[in-house]
This record gives sequence, structure tokens and C-alpha cells, in this order.
Amino acid sequence: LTVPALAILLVSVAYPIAWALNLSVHTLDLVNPEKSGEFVAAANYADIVASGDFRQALFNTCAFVITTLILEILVAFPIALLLHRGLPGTPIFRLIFSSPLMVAPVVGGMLWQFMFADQYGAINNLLAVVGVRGPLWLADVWGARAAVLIGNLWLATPFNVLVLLAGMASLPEQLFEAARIDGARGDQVFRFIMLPLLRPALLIILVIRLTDAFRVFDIVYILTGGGPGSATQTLSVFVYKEIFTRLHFAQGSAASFMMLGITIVLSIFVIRVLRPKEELA
Amino acid sequence: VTVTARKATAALPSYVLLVLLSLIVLFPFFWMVTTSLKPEVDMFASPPVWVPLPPSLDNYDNVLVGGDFRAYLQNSLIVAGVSTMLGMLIGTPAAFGFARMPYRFSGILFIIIVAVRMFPPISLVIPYFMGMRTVELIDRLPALIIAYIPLELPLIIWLLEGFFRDFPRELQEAAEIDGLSTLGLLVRVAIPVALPAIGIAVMFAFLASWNEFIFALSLTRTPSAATMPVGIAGYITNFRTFWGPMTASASIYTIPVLIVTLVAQRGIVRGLLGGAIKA
Repeated sequence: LTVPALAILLVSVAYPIAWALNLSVHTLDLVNPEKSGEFVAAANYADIVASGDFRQALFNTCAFVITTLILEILVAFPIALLLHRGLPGTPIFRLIFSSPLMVAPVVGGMLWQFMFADQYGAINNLLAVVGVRGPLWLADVWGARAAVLIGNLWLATPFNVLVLLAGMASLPEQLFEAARIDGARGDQVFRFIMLPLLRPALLIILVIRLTDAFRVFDIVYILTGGGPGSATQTLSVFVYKEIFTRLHFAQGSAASFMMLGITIVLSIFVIRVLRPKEELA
Repeated sequence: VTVTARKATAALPSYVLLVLLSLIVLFPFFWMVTTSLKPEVDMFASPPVWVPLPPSLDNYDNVLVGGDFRAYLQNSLIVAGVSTMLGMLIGTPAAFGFARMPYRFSGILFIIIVAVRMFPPISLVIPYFMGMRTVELIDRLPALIIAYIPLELPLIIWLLEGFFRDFPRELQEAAEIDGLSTLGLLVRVAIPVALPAIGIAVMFAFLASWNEFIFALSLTRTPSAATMPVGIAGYITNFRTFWGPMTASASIYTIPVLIVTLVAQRGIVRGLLGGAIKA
């Protein structure tokens, strides 16, 4: 029963990856086809590593992954805790907080681009109401970076909230009662009981969001196009431009394999560090 | 009365916080819909027109009558629909196989399949682009359908495997005693039992291709095959951005999906987590 799926994935994933890996150690010159197909070993990789744009993209991506993960969890935790209290009306709030989850990142990027606009944008006009002069978000290096983070936060936090909520719902109620009877304060309960027990949920969030954030493309491409300059260019955007703007297919392949390698190493690292004593299901 | 009153006061800060956060979360939607209802003159007003009165349907008119909106929508529906159908057709038996009929290495194969989900799709863009160029499928619908099946398969298999693992052993044994073949067991017993799960898998697979951007951007370019995300991105040009038609298209494209998925709230959580956490 698993054979058809395996065969299809072999043809549609494993083979293309192998093909691209092969491409990444050869030359490919679309202008002079006779110069193509030469074996150059690691030359394409060396080209990419030597390129300032790639290093900038690598730096941007890592900075983005770290800040967005911290922000997402910091924002999602209070929301999840509020929803977990089970106040009347919670289902409606839960609905509201999960709504951005299903929005296409392209639409999200577009909406935020419009809102971050400098003259007619909603955000700067709202800021003006409270007397703050907003920055030129998308034209400024740090403004654009902040804009990407905020837009992405809106898109990605719901996932974190839902996973944390599911994690909280599966915690044994007796444990919390026992703690209360023993006179534990709220913050102690949170720190010593809830947080350690939420480890599996946090692990899932970290692994999934880490790999998602690492390959981020849609929102950056739409919101800033990687600009200004290459201030917000992430690895995926860099590879895309390498292919479709500069037509460096072989170098693009090499860069995408470095990306793949880093993703794999990072996820294994996170799983190693955070794996709870008892095996996850 | 005093007890409930006290309880209500205690909960008040929480409610204030929840409402405030909700407003932030909902604001982009509000802005999308109101912008789509603004006439051209209000579009770039500063300070902005927060609520257009009376609302104008010009943008919807523009989008629905002229332009390529309908082509994009149709492409999106065909691509997402066909690829989801094929993905389910292949993925459902595979999930059942992994869950109920383990064999040597099946565990490792399953982990590899799940790991495919975390792949940066950009590393597949080059081989797909070159391959589709060779077989002349660039800017044609089959290219995207082919590209989306491997995208959906890991999702479907991962999701359904979790459900089939909970499938009662007695049912499987009873079916075997009754002489049902494996395929019969799957089609007559397992699938009917797992129908809600299958619904969730369909929803997630459909959404994955409905919202997909990077392959669509690379493999298609004209209204003859491009999907909605590419169409919407196309409203941003170097010279000006057509916010009116763009927000109108985005509203039509996003809101139905939003409604359907929100109705299936519980399903979303299970869909996100598979068998990892019991929700």
C-alpha cells in the first residue's frame, strides 16, 4: 500500500534533488551551451560562499529565525494562557486568534505592505493619532526588517497559540490542584509545573517553526522584495534571484543545498537538545 | 450575586487584553475589506478614510468583469482540486500501510517522508523548472499539479497515519476473518471510520496548494496557468500598486477559505499536530 506513494516521492523529490545536486557540481551556461556540463567539483559552492549577497542573506535568515521564534513564543504564551483560563466567550476569541493561520502568506504580505505604506498607510496614521511619527518602514533598513518580523508574527503566532493550547489542555488537572493546595504561587506553578510539562509542545513549535522560518520566502518577497538593497533578503529570496534574475542555475543549486544542509543540522540539534526523557509519540 | 460580580471584576483585565489583542489580529482583515470598498479617490487619502461611506463596489466590478481574475481563480481551483484528489488517492493507502502494516524499514521511510515536509521548497524549484522546460509544461496547469502532489503527500500521510494508528485492532481482525482483502479492508472499513480525518487531510492538502506561491511564481507566468497568489502579486508593479482591485481579489480569494476552516476549528488543531499531541 505504501509503494505508490514511495514511488511517486522517489520520482518527484529524490530524483530532482539528486539531479540538482549533480547540477551544483557542474557548469551551466545558458548563453554558451557548449561551455555547460563541465565538472567543477566545489567551485559553485566556493562562488556562493564568497558572494557578499549570500553571506548577507545567511546572516539575515539566521537573525530572522532567532528573533521571530523568540517573539512568536513570547506573544503566543500569554494569549494561550488567557485562552486556557476558559472564560466565557473563549471559543470566539480562539476563532479570532487562529484566523490568520489560513491566510495565504502572499495575501498577508500584501496587506502589511499596504499598511506599512508611508503616506497613506494605516499604521503610520494610527501612530500619528497617538502623536508618534512613524518611520519610513519599507525604505529603511531596520524599518523593513521590523516590518517583515511584524507581518510574519501576525501570520505565524496562531500556530504557536494553538499548539500551546493543545499542550495545556492535555496537562493533568490534579497536578495543578495539588500545587495550589500546597500553596504554590501562580508564577511558581507556571515555572515549575506547566513549563516543564509543555516541553513536547514547545519542541513541536520549535522544530516546525524553525524549518518554516528558515525557508521564509512569500512574505519577504511580497513585502520588501528583499530590500532596501539586500537588507531583508533571506536565503530563499537569494536563491530565487540567483536563478530567475541572474540565471545562475548551478550556483543557485549549490546555495539551496547549503540551505538544506543547515536546515537538517538545525532540526537535529533542536530535537537533541529538547527531547524529553520519555519518547514523543 | 456578589460572588459572580466579583468573578466578573477579576476577569475584566483578561477581557480587556483579549479584546485589544483581537483588534490587532483582526485589523488587517478589516483594512483589506474596507480598502476594497473604497473608490479610487479615497485610496491614498491621508489621513485615511477608515470606513468608506457609502461603500463602492467598483473594485469588485472591475475585478469580476474585466481582467484576469477569473482565470486565476479557475486555475487555483483546478490545480488545488486535482492535486488534492490525486494526493489523497495515493496518500490514504500509504498512511494506512504505514500505520497498520509495518515492514522492515517502514519506520525509517515514514520519518523520511515526514521530513520532506520541512524541505526548503526552493531547492526543488531549479530541477522542476528545468524539467518542466524540457517537457514544455512551463506555464501550463499540469506543471503545478505535478509540483503540488509531492508537497501534499507528506502532509496527508503524516496526518492520516496518526488516525489510522488509533483504528481498533478488533475491526481489522474481524475484517480479516470475514475474508476481506487489504484493499477491501481499507475501502469498506477503515476509510468510512476515518472520514472526519480524511476531511481534515483534504482541507490541509487543498490549502497547501491553494496558498502556495514559490512554485506557482517559478513555473507559471500568464493567466493561462498562473494561480491567485501570482495574480495578486502581479498587482504590485514597479510604477504603482493597484490596491483597489488587489484587495478586492484578495477578499474574494481569502474569505471563503477563512470561513470554511474556521467552521472546522477542532479539526485544525488535530491537523496541525497529527498524532503528536492528543487534542
